[in-house]
Amino acid sequence: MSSISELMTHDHRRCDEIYANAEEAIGQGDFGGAANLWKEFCVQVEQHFTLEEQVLFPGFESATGMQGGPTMMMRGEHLQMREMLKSIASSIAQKEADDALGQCESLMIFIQQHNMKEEQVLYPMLDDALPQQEMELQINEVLAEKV
Amino acid sequence: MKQDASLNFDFIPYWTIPFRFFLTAPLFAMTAGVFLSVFGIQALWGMLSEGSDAVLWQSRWLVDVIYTLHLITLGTITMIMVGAFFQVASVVGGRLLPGGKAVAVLVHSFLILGATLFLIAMTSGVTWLFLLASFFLTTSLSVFSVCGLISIFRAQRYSPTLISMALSLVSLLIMMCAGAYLLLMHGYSEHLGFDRRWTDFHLVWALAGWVGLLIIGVSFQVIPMFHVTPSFNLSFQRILPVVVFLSIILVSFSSFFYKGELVAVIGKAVLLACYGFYGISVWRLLNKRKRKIEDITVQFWKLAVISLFVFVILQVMGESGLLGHWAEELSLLSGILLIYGVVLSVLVGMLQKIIPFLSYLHMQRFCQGDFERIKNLPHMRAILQVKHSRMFLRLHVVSLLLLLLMIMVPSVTIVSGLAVFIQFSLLLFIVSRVVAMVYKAEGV
Repeated sequence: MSSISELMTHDHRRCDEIYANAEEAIGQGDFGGAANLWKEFCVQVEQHFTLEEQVLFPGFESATGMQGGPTMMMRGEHLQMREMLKSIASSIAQKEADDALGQCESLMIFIQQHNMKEEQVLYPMLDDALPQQEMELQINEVLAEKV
Repeated sequence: MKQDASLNFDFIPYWTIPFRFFLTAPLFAMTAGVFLSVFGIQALWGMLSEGSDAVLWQSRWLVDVIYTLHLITLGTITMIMVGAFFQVASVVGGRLLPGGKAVAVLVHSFLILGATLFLIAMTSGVTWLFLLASFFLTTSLSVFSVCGLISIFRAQRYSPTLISMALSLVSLLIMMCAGAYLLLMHGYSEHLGFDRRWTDFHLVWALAGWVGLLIIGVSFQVIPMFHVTPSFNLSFQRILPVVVFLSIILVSFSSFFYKGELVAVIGKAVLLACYGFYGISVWRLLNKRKRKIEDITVQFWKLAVISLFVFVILQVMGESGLLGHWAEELSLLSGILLIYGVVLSVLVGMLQKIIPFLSYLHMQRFCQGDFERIKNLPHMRAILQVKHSRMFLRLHVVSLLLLLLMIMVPSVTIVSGLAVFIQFSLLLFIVSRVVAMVYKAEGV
């Protein structure tokens, strides 16, 4: 049986790989390829956010009674990242490589810092608070759709 | 370890806390560059007026070497590390250092005063200045260490990074006590005498402990985070900091009481092996990074690992007696490789990521969720331009090579000092430009 931490952390790494390919395409000036890869990255990230916001966070909030704590903060960061994703898509569409790469760099470190908070603090709290088996099924169901 | 609901992910220290350290650090390295050039000019003057050979860099025990070295280790390295610690502790442990801005101001100002008085005491020889320098340095570093340890003990969950950071702070306290005692021995040698064994004791706790363990711990987080590499092996993360710490205890005490005996050699071999394995792990991870675009910080890391390997080779050759006639040159070259090649490369390399990211993060916060304003913020490549980072890396490599050459060819000292001065002037420009940008964004 895999824990919530393991499954969600694995999904972070999968998204990172798609990101790295998109970034490489921008760096090489392949804006067509970059646009496609960026779209794929946005879809994967959106599914990850949705899984957290609609399944894991509400479950954690009702189990612990912590409504305004870390989960609220993570939702706020998801909103910021969604805006950054859109802005980079627009720079890729306008073929502005330097602008897109600069924004990518900001986004990447923002994502990594966000991931670190989740992987080190929030996911272990989810592991403690939520029923493992039930959550594993739900996570696998959503993640299976992504592959 | 506390499990409570008060953990606030959004707690990051106010932007001026880390930036005040980053802004001051280049000034000390620039001063070191000026001193090096002055030594070079003095030696050249001696050569021209008296026809003698350049008399420089003959021993690590010379006062000139000691204070120039401490301008870099205290004024630049410790300054950057303390500033970064305030930031990293909150991200890794989810807790701010207690005392907020007041503690940061005290630690920062006392560190500046202590490092400056260290220089003045060493150059003037006025005894009470040694006492004053010790007071400011020990106060600054003890307050910082205790606050750092408190923030780690309050952390939500322990990780190998936090354990390594805690061991680094303990090392800092030990190194600081030995350092203060050495400083007082310099000032009051007629009462205290001068026991040179304390120098190696101080040195190993400073470099392998305080600096090395903090770099190791933080790298467990930032290498995968900044460069999108696989994580360090979890067992390696758990074991390495503890083994390094135990090896330092073995090395420092065996070198103190049984210098040259088998136990001291074994201790040193274990410590070198730990850092050798760490260097190999860093190199392997960086080669596995998923991001393929040019990354100056990766190049700084690789330079650090290469310097570390050369350092280890030199140490092995030194221990085996292969470089018997070059013992003094060897210790000076090793010092430069370790301090400038390994430690400074890692720290200034990480600054190339930390500075633009922190400033971006804070500028984003000033927008208070207004996405239209966020969209207009400068991105990371506009905050810290790639051409500046690239130039800084080149200057760093040139400075390192000239500093190494300086030990063998002392007449190069003027140029080495100039190179260090120019390199850190560029860092000062980079940090100042970013600080002005964030300050302006906050006022809007």
